Amino acid sequence: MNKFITLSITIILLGLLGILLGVFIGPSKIGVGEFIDAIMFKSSVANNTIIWDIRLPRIFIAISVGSSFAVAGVILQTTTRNPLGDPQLFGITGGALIVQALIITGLIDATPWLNTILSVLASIICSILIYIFASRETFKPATLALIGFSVGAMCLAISTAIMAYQRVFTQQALGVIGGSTANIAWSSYIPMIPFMFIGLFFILSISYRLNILSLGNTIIRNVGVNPNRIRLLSMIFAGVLSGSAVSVVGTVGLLGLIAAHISRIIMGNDVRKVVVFAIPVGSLLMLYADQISRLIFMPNEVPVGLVISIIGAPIMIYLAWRHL
Amino acid sequence: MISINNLSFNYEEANILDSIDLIIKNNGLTCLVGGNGVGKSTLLNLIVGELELQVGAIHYNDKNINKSDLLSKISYLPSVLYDPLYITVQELLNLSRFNNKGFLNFKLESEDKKKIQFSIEKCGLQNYTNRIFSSLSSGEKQKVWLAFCIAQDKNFIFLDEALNNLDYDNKDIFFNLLKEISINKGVLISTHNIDMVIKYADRVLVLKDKKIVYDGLPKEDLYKII
Repeated sequence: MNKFITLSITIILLGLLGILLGVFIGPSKIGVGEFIDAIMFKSSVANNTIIWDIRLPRIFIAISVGSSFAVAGVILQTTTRNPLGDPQLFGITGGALIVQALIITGLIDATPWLNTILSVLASIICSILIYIFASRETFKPATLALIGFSVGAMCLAISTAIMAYQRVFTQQALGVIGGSTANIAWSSYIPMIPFMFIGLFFILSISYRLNILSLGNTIIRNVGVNPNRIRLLSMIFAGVLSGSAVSVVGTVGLLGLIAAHISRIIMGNDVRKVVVFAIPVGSLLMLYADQISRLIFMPNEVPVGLVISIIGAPIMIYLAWRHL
Repeated sequence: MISINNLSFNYEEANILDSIDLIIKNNGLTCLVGGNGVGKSTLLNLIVGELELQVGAIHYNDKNINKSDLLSKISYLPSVLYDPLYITVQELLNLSRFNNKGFLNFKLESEDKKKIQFSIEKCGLQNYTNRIFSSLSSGEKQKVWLAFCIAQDKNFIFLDEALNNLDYDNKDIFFNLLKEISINKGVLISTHNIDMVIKYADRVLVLKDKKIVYDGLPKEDLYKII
């Protein structure tokens, strides 16, 4: 219980600090007074826009996207018994990436809702394809990783080719491939919310069954559970979470991987606890990475996905060296 | 009673088992012996449905039965077991009584808890319940897996070389325990431990050259048949 209180306080303090950074620090100066005025819609039009349409959305987006990728990472690592489990590395977000490329080039004319729905569908299709290939004979974690990795690489190449062919601006292309939370309107973010809640609700409600997946197929069947059905369902809902996140920010590599490992190292054994704790871990990672991406070369921005990779790789190396 | 009729199995054109007939009763300790690669695991895997039947049939109490219903009567430990990651012995044993009742967790009724406690006491795991499973020695892990089967409390327990990492004293204790359990369960274990077979088995099956070449009481010169 003590650990629970300490963790909660740490999370709340870190979260508040991140949000304060996100609201108050930036190219234009915003003071406490201006912030309160803007919240009440009493400030100048410029300040209103900076607070409401530039700084606040990306805080919400960072938190939602971070938790979606992190939970998807935990689920993939657990269901496949593979420490490499991550929506990007397993190719699940590949389909959504192609959808993003098609939309940004104007080849598909999509409203934000259609964008999110198409991305989610594309991710689900990728999940199912990868699952079918991987489980034809017996379910081998290494086969799944290899197939997923190949699917992911192919999708990345296709979407890059689409953007190259249509001569998309570098900045936009980087935003999709590198992941960016900059200049995203509320209307583009809102369609993600229902998918996020559906995904999280479903995964939490089956997470106690996920504990059993670490027993190996023979024993799983012996306690009366069909291991492959749970694997397929989990991969589909990992697809829902990560596909909807990609529709808002593009791909953010390594986030799911790192957040899942941090959560597991802190929470230990029970998949339910690891899933729940991955939510704040992923949110905080994304929130801080986003601040760095905004502020390090202010007023220019680095895609947040690249920040995650640059910071995440050393963290991952340390975790692998120390704990795996 | 599980009856196996005319069971044959080929693996990539090699004939492993050839028209095997076998009846396994609801009680008694049956030991399956035979050299390496003779098909002991194949036979067990066919009965529990890990391998698809090619030729032959399996009946339960002389009736047809589908795979999952038959599996619900048999606790089975394969020879290769994965270490469940990150969980304690108690948590692992709780999973032996897994069910679909409950929303955010499966629900252990008092009967389930009693059976888990019984298995812990039977296997002498009282001091291990809070240990992380993967940190145990291979012999200790096998004790926990046996407790897992006992807690399931199904009609049959099939073990594929499941006690081979125990030291001599523990082997003796656990074969004795299997003997005790087999009063009201059919226990079938494949093993290379002829000493224990001779000491404890109610029935010995010798598998050799695709066939069961001996089916009867244990005897001193078993070595010669194998």
